[in-house]
Amino acid sequence: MKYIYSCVFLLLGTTASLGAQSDLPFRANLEESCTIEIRSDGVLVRDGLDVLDSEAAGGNSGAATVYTTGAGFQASLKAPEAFSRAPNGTGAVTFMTTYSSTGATSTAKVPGSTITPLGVGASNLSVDLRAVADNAIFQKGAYEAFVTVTCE
Amino acid sequence: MHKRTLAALIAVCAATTPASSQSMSPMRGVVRSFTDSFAVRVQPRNPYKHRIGVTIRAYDADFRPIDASISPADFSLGAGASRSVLVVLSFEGARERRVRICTESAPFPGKGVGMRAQICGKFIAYRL
Repeated sequence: MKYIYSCVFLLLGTTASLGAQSDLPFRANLEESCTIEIRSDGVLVRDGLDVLDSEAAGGNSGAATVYTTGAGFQASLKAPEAFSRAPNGTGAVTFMTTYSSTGATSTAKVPGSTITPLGVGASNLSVDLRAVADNAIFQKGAYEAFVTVTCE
Repeated sequence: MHKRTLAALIAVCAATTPASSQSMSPMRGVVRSFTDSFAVRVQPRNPYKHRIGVTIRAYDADFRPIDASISPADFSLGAGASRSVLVVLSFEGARERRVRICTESAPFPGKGVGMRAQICGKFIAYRL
Protein backbone atom coordinates (compact mmCIF):
# COMPACT_ATOMS: atom_id res chain seq x y z
CA MET A 1 0.00 0.00 0.00
CA LYS A 2 2.87 2.39 0.88
CA TYR A 3 4.35 1.61 -2.50
CA ILE A 4 1.14 2.68 -4.30
CA TYR A 5 0.98 5.99 -2.35
CA SER A 6 4.60 6.68 -3.23
CA CYS A 7 3.89 6.11 -6.89
CA VAL A 8 0.88 8.44 -6.81
CA PHE A 9 2.90 11.22 -5.13
CA LEU A 10 5.70 10.76 -7.59
CA LEU A 11 3.34 11.03 -10.56
CA LEU A 12 1.69 14.13 -9.12
CA GLY A 13 5.08 15.73 -8.60
CA THR A 14 6.15 14.95 -12.15
CA THR A 15 2.93 16.39 -13.55
CA ALA A 16 3.38 19.58 -11.53
CA SER A 17 6.94 19.97 -12.86
CA LEU A 18 5.78 19.58 -16.45
CA GLY A 19 3.07 22.18 -15.93
CA ALA A 20 5.68 24.74 -14.82
CA GLN A 21 7.82 24.40 -17.93
CA SER A 22 7.80 27.23 -20.43
CA ASP A 23 9.89 28.09 -23.45
CA LEU A 24 11.68 31.42 -23.47
CA PRO A 25 12.13 32.50 -27.09
CA PHE A 26 15.16 34.37 -28.43
CA ARG A 27 14.65 36.05 -31.78
CA ALA A 28 16.71 38.09 -34.22
CA ASN A 29 15.90 39.85 -37.45
CA LEU A 30 19.11 40.79 -39.23
CA GLU A 31 19.43 43.17 -42.16
CA GLU A 32 21.83 42.46 -44.97
CA SER A 33 25.05 44.34 -44.37
CA CYS A 34 28.57 44.81 -45.59
CA THR A 35 31.54 45.38 -43.31
CA ILE A 36 35.07 46.09 -44.45
CA GLU A 37 37.94 45.43 -42.13
CA ILE A 38 41.34 46.70 -43.19
CA ARG A 39 43.63 44.05 -41.75
CA SER A 40 47.06 45.26 -42.79
CA ASP A 41 48.57 48.00 -44.88
CA GLY A 42 50.65 47.38 -47.95
CA VAL A 43 54.34 48.11 -48.33
CA LEU A 44 55.71 49.63 -51.53
CA VAL A 45 59.30 48.96 -52.52
CA ARG A 46 61.41 50.16 -55.39
CA ASP A 47 61.23 48.10 -58.58
CA GLY A 48 63.60 50.06 -60.77
CA LEU A 49 64.19 53.80 -60.53
CA ASP A 50 60.75 54.88 -61.62
CA VAL A 51 58.49 52.19 -60.13
CA LEU A 52 57.24 51.46 -56.63
CA ASP A 53 55.45 48.13 -56.37
CA SER A 54 54.03 46.13 -53.47
CA GLU A 55 54.61 42.93 -55.46
CA ALA A 56 58.34 43.51 -55.85
CA ALA A 57 60.76 41.64 -53.61
CA GLY A 58 60.48 42.95 -50.08
CA GLY A 59 57.06 44.50 -50.60
CA ASN A 60 53.79 43.47 -49.01
CA SER A 61 50.25 43.29 -50.25
CA GLY A 62 47.54 45.05 -48.27
CA ALA A 63 44.88 42.85 -46.72
CA ALA A 64 41.20 43.53 -46.17
CA THR A 65 38.32 41.29 -45.23
CA VAL A 66 34.83 42.04 -46.48
CA TYR A 67 32.01 40.53 -44.46
CA THR A 68 28.60 40.26 -46.11
CA THR A 69 25.41 38.91 -44.57
CA GLY A 70 23.39 38.81 -47.77
CA ALA A 71 23.66 38.28 -51.50
CA GLY A 72 24.00 40.98 -54.13
CA PHE A 73 27.03 42.90 -52.84
CA GLN A 74 30.03 43.74 -54.98
CA ALA A 75 33.62 44.72 -54.31
CA SER A 76 36.09 46.81 -56.28
CA LEU A 77 39.10 49.08 -55.71
CA LYS A 78 39.82 52.70 -56.49
CA ALA A 79 43.41 53.57 -57.18
CA PRO A 80 44.79 56.76 -55.62
CA GLU A 81 45.08 59.82 -57.84
CA ALA A 82 48.27 61.00 -56.13
CA PHE A 83 50.48 60.27 -53.16
CA SER A 84 49.07 61.70 -49.95
CA ARG A 85 52.66 62.02 -48.75
CA ALA A 86 55.74 62.27 -50.93
CA PRO A 87 59.02 64.18 -51.04
CA ASN A 88 58.94 67.67 -52.50
CA GLY A 89 59.40 67.65 -56.23
CA THR A 90 57.64 64.36 -56.86
CA GLY A 91 55.94 64.70 -60.23
CA ALA A 92 52.98 62.99 -61.81
CA VAL A 93 52.52 59.31 -61.03
CA THR A 94 50.35 56.64 -62.60
CA PHE A 95 48.81 54.15 -60.17
CA MET A 96 47.54 50.66 -60.87
CA THR A 97 45.82 48.38 -58.40
CA THR A 98 45.05 44.68 -58.50
CA TYR A 99 43.38 42.30 -56.09
CA SER A 100 42.59 38.66 -55.55
CA SER A 101 40.18 37.06 -53.11
CA THR A 102 39.84 33.88 -51.09
CA GLY A 103 37.18 32.68 -48.69
CA ALA A 104 33.52 33.32 -49.48
CA THR A 105 34.64 34.87 -52.77
CA SER A 106 37.32 33.16 -54.81
CA THR A 107 38.94 35.28 -57.50
CA ALA A 108 42.30 35.20 -59.23
CA LYS A 109 44.19 38.49 -59.52
CA VAL A 110 42.16 41.09 -61.43
CA PRO A 111 42.55 44.84 -62.07
CA GLY A 112 41.24 46.92 -59.18
CA SER A 113 38.42 48.45 -61.20
CA THR A 114 36.94 44.99 -61.80
CA ILE A 115 33.63 44.63 -59.98
CA THR A 116 33.46 41.25 -58.28
CA PRO A 117 30.20 39.81 -56.91
CA LEU A 118 30.76 38.84 -53.28
CA GLY A 119 29.73 35.54 -51.75
CA VAL A 120 27.92 35.57 -48.42
CA GLY A 121 30.44 35.41 -45.58
CA ALA A 122 34.03 36.59 -45.21
CA SER A 123 36.00 37.39 -48.35
CA ASN A 124 39.73 37.95 -47.87
CA LEU A 125 41.12 40.48 -50.33
CA SER A 126 44.81 40.74 -51.11
CA VAL A 127 45.46 44.18 -52.58
CA ASP A 128 48.49 45.36 -54.56
CA LEU A 129 49.52 48.78 -55.77
CA ARG A 130 52.02 49.78 -58.43
CA ALA A 131 53.13 53.38 -58.89
CA VAL A 132 54.99 54.48 -62.03
CA ALA A 133 56.60 57.91 -62.16
CA ASP A 134 55.91 59.76 -65.38
CA ASN A 135 59.28 60.55 -66.96
CA ALA A 136 61.03 60.80 -63.62
CA ILE A 137 62.57 58.73 -60.86
CA PHE A 138 61.40 58.33 -57.28
CA GLN A 139 63.66 60.29 -54.95
CA LYS A 140 64.54 59.17 -51.46
CA GLY A 141 61.91 59.91 -48.84
CA ALA A 142 58.61 58.71 -47.42
CA TYR A 143 55.71 57.92 -49.73
CA GLU A 144 52.13 57.11 -48.82
CA ALA A 145 49.09 56.48 -50.99
CA PHE A 146 45.63 55.18 -50.15
CA VAL A 147 43.74 52.52 -52.07
CA THR A 148 39.98 52.57 -51.52
CA VAL A 149 38.21 49.25 -51.05
CA THR A 150 34.54 49.60 -52.00
CA CYS A 151 31.65 47.36 -51.06
CA GLU A 152 28.25 48.25 -52.46
CA MET B 1 11.34 74.51 -46.69
CA HIS B 2 10.66 73.07 -43.23
CA LYS B 3 7.53 71.36 -44.56
CA ARG B 4 9.54 69.80 -47.35
CA THR B 5 12.19 68.52 -44.99
CA LEU B 6 9.52 67.19 -42.64
CA ALA B 7 7.75 65.40 -45.48
CA ALA B 8 11.05 63.92 -46.61
CA LEU B 9 11.80 62.76 -43.08
CA ILE B 10 8.42 61.11 -42.78
CA ALA B 11 8.99 59.42 -46.12
CA VAL B 12 12.36 58.03 -45.07
CA CYS B 13 11.05 56.84 -41.72
CA ALA B 14 8.33 54.93 -43.53
CA ALA B 15 10.63 53.47 -46.13
CA THR B 16 13.62 52.31 -44.11
CA THR B 17 14.10 50.48 -40.88
CA PRO B 18 16.77 51.18 -38.30
CA ALA B 19 19.42 48.61 -37.49
CA SER B 20 22.52 48.25 -35.42
CA SER B 21 25.88 46.54 -35.40
CA GLN B 22 26.65 47.03 -39.06
CA SER B 23 29.25 49.10 -40.80
CA MET B 24 26.48 50.87 -42.59
CA SER B 25 22.82 50.11 -42.78
CA PRO B 26 20.53 50.01 -44.58
CA MET B 27 22.43 49.09 -47.75
CA ARG B 28 19.37 49.21 -49.99
CA GLY B 29 16.25 51.29 -49.83
CA VAL B 30 13.30 52.78 -51.67
CA VAL B 31 12.14 56.25 -50.67
CA ARG B 32 8.89 57.94 -51.67
CA SER B 33 8.44 61.65 -51.21
CA PHE B 34 5.70 64.20 -51.90
CA THR B 35 8.18 67.04 -52.29
CA ASP B 36 11.20 67.93 -54.42
CA SER B 37 13.54 66.56 -51.79
CA PHE B 38 13.91 63.25 -50.04
CA ALA B 39 15.85 61.98 -47.09
CA VAL B 40 17.74 58.83 -46.23
CA ARG B 41 18.91 57.95 -42.77
CA VAL B 42 21.96 55.69 -42.54
CA GLN B 43 23.75 54.21 -39.59
CA PRO B 44 27.53 53.87 -39.99
CA ARG B 45 29.38 51.72 -37.49
CA ASN B 46 33.04 51.39 -36.55
CA PRO B 47 33.97 47.68 -36.55
CA TYR B 48 37.51 48.34 -35.33
CA LYS B 49 38.92 48.24 -31.82
CA HIS B 50 40.15 51.82 -32.14
CA ARG B 51 38.65 55.22 -33.00
CA ILE B 52 38.33 56.10 -36.68
CA GLY B 53 37.35 59.15 -38.72
CA VAL B 54 34.20 58.76 -40.81
CA THR B 55 32.96 60.79 -43.77
CA ILE B 56 29.55 60.41 -45.38
CA ARG B 57 29.27 61.30 -49.07
CA ALA B 58 26.55 61.12 -51.69
CA TYR B 59 27.04 60.02 -55.29
CA ASP B 60 24.78 59.55 -58.29
CA ALA B 61 24.24 56.25 -60.10
CA ASP B 62 27.49 56.78 -62.02
CA PHE B 63 29.50 57.45 -58.86
CA ARG B 64 29.78 61.19 -59.47
CA PRO B 65 29.63 63.31 -56.30
CA ILE B 66 26.30 65.12 -55.87
CA ASP B 67 25.07 67.91 -53.62
CA ALA B 68 23.41 66.76 -50.43
CA SER B 69 22.69 68.08 -46.99
CA ILE B 70 24.45 65.61 -44.71
CA SER B 71 24.35 65.95 -40.97
CA PRO B 72 26.84 65.20 -39.71
CA ALA B 73 29.11 64.68 -42.72
CA ASP B 74 32.40 64.25 -40.85
CA PHE B 75 32.79 62.79 -37.38
CA SER B 76 34.73 60.24 -35.42
CA LEU B 77 33.48 56.96 -34.02
CA GLY B 78 34.86 55.09 -31.06
CA ALA B 79 35.48 51.36 -31.07
CA GLY B 80 32.29 49.47 -31.90
CA ALA B 81 30.22 52.66 -31.89
CA SER B 82 27.62 53.77 -34.41
CA ARG B 83 25.55 56.86 -35.01
CA SER B 84 22.69 58.00 -37.15
CA VAL B 85 23.30 60.30 -40.14
CA LEU B 86 20.59 62.12 -42.08
CA VAL B 87 21.11 62.76 -45.79
CA VAL B 88 18.67 65.07 -47.60
CA LEU B 89 18.84 65.18 -51.38
CA SER B 90 16.95 66.94 -54.14
CA PHE B 91 15.13 65.29 -57.05
CA GLU B 92 16.37 68.20 -59.18
CA GLY B 93 13.12 68.15 -61.12
CA ALA B 94 13.16 64.43 -61.90
CA ARG B 95 10.46 61.92 -60.90
CA GLU B 96 13.01 59.33 -59.87
CA ARG B 97 16.55 59.48 -58.59
CA ARG B 98 19.08 56.72 -57.92
CA VAL B 99 21.82 57.60 -55.46
CA ARG B 100 24.63 56.01 -53.53
CA ILE B 101 25.31 57.06 -49.97
CA CYS B 102 28.73 56.01 -48.84
CA THR B 103 30.47 55.69 -45.51
CA GLU B 104 34.14 56.35 -46.04
CA SER B 105 36.47 55.68 -43.21
CA ALA B 106 40.16 55.70 -42.53
CA PRO B 107 42.18 55.37 -39.36
CA PHE B 108 43.56 58.64 -38.07
CA PRO B 109 46.88 59.80 -39.58
CA GLY B 110 49.87 58.15 -38.05
CA LYS B 111 48.48 54.63 -38.15
CA GLY B 112 50.26 54.01 -41.44
CA VAL B 113 47.34 52.23 -43.07
CA GLY B 114 47.38 52.56 -46.83
CA MET B 115 43.81 51.51 -47.51
CA ARG B 116 40.44 53.16 -47.03
CA ALA B 117 37.12 51.43 -46.67
CA GLN B 118 34.13 52.70 -48.63
CA ILE B 119 30.74 51.12 -48.02
CA CYS B 120 27.97 52.32 -50.29
CA GLY B 121 24.25 51.82 -49.97
CA LYS B 122 22.08 52.11 -53.09
CA PHE B 123 18.80 53.98 -52.82
CA ILE B 124 16.00 54.74 -55.27
CA ALA B 125 13.75 57.71 -54.60
CA TYR B 126 10.38 58.31 -56.25
CA ARG B 127 8.52 61.61 -56.26
CA LEU B 128 4.82 60.98 -55.75
